[in-house]
Amino acid sequence: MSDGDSFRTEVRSWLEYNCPIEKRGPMNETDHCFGGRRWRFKDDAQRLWLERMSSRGWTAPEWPRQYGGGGLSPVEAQVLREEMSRIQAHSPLTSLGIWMLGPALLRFGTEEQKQKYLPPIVRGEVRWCQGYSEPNAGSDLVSLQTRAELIGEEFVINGAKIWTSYGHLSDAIFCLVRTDPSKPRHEGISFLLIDDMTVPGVVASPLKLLSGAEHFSQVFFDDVHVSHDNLVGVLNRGWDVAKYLLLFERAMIGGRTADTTRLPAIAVKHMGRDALRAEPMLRAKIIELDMELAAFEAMVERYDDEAAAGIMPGAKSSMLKYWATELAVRRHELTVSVMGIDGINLDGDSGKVALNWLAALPNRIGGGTSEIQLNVIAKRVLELPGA
Amino acid sequence: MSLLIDDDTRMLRDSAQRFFAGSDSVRSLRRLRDSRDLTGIAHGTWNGIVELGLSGVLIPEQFGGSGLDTMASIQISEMMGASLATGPFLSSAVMSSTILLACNNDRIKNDILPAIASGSIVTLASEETSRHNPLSISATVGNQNGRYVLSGNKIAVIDGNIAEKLIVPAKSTDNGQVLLLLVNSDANGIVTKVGMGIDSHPVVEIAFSNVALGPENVISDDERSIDYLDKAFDIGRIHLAAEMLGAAQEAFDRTVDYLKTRVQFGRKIGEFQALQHRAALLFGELEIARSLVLKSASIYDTDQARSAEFASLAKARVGEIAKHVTTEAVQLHGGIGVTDDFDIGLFLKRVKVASERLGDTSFHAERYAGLQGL
Repeated sequence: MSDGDSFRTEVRSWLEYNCPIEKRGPMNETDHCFGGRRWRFKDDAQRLWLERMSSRGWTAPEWPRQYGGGGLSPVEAQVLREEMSRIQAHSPLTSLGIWMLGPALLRFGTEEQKQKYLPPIVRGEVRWCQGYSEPNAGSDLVSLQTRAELIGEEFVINGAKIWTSYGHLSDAIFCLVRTDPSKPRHEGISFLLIDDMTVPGVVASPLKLLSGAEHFSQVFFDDVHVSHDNLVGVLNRGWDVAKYLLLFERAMIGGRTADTTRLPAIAVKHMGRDALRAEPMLRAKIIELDMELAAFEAMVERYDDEAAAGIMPGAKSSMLKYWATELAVRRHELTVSVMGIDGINLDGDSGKVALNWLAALPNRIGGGTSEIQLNVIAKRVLELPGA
Repeated sequence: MSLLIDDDTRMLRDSAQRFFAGSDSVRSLRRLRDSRDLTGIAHGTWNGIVELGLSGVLIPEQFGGSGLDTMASIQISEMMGASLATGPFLSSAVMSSTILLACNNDRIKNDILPAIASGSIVTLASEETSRHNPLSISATVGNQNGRYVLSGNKIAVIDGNIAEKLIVPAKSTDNGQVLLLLVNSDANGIVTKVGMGIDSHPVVEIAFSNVALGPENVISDDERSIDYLDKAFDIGRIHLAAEMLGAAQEAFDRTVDYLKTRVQFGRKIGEFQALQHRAALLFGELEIARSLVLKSASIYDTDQARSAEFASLAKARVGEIAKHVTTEAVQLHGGIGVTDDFDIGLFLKRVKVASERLGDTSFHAERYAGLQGL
């Protein structure tokens, strides 16, 4: 316990000294630092904060030191998170490399791959995206068709990916590709790195969503050549890597809480107490949903505590994803109602709430739809029978 | 502050689980119900609870208990819910102990707490209205030359048919102050009426008419009486939430087993996606309920300023979830689920009664809203 306390003291004073004042406080969308070769820092503080955190490996606190990580134990990493949240420090780096690719390489990668790819991820120098879904492989991901043919020492890739987060802004993409069409569906897929999206044959174009945002893209591959060394794990066993990573993706989407202002506070601020009391049905809805959200937060907290103690949620992460995204849609929809007509006027002061609502909808779909999450719970956790 | 239970609590949970699972409580509940033995039902597994030392779980060692925290004691309520066990754990070991520990009365603490730890049954007789309204107190206590006279009607007295002593809030006829009085249940002027609830537990009304008391019966006579009551209600609500969690989890586990074995249309009904999704949703709700029970207990132990908010949150949300889970459990069992011979409906009844006690979902949503400034 005393060791934990002294670590906490050290972290606290280091953060106090090193976290720029501009990088504290509520984080909005423009505060995210995605890094990468094409990244333009919002300001010097953002650059400085990334450099300082990554120099300690604290952009990837639990990764081993030899790959640039922080080498922290789960308990120490939890202390770091708590101390960062205590001063509302921004996350220094928003990175699929850290959340998704890193865990895959640490578990399935070769020593050469770990040394080559992990340190630049920690430093935010390369921005990775994920090529999983395809136009005809959404919920049924395993039916994916993008083909990678091994010719000599190279894979030659042809096909298309869709719903690739920030694909058009990324430097590199990790993909699920079909390497053996003759095998049963799960057994002919491999996990492949295209570590330079500027090579000939790769085209990424953005998709515009209901909210107007362009977070996703389509990525096309036309005779793209990559080295055989870019295969992660065993040839034709990429589905094992994908399944492992899906747990991280669901936990990540599930853990996202963009705006933490509580609904009752929003309603009191926007309407005032008297107006709210004059609408008892609306008030009741606000209270009920706020209670559901607070209850869900208790579950997130419990799973965080379990993770810090080394108990991984496994398939239970599907539930975090399910409830986080379902509740977010309801929360943002009700927030629009609280604002009334102001809430749907994109050019008004409150127009952002409608965009938040529309932006919450894709999260119920990406990373496995809500319905797929329920399938996962039914099969993997409850072990109900059937295909 | 962690929402994980420590090793000591885990051991307590395991031993409570073994005891209640082995107590054959469902069969005994059915037997006592069929012979309308409401005294037997109220006592339930109490002797075993006392032998295991669980009656003193919250009572400090100096008063003969084991001095554990709420995180520990909710494990016992959860296991009682799961096994449908009965016995005055909530009323005596949890709520009455909490009031007496909080109060500023050393004589009563020294007298009564060790007695509760060793099995004496004390309960709180506070409710007066059919919908929970704890501060609406009409019972009166007059004071003449140092002697007190208590009159009034109390309802929904948990285990009121077997308690040796009653803790009774009443308003002073002099100044309107709420007094907490410790009354022997066999005192002159007390009439007890016992009915049977849908869960087969007794529903007890107690009428006090000019019950004569002395200064030794006064637990508290100042404005703090209300705070002591609040503390007891909140810890009671958290334990009711734990009890509902236990009952709902057990009903759910049995339902999942049923989905894996019942065959219709030539296949296990658990293969149907319509049922799989319902089961998956219930699983998620139960995980949330479990987290909330732990959170509210942890907050009660460590953060007094927020304990009311989380007690209400837990009572309301876990109540709704447990009602949903047990109602679905009956439905997913089909015809057999609505027969009296089959146990699944007993969980539904237990949960419904627990959800009505000490404030239902609407009561606690309103209280929670007030605490949020709405």
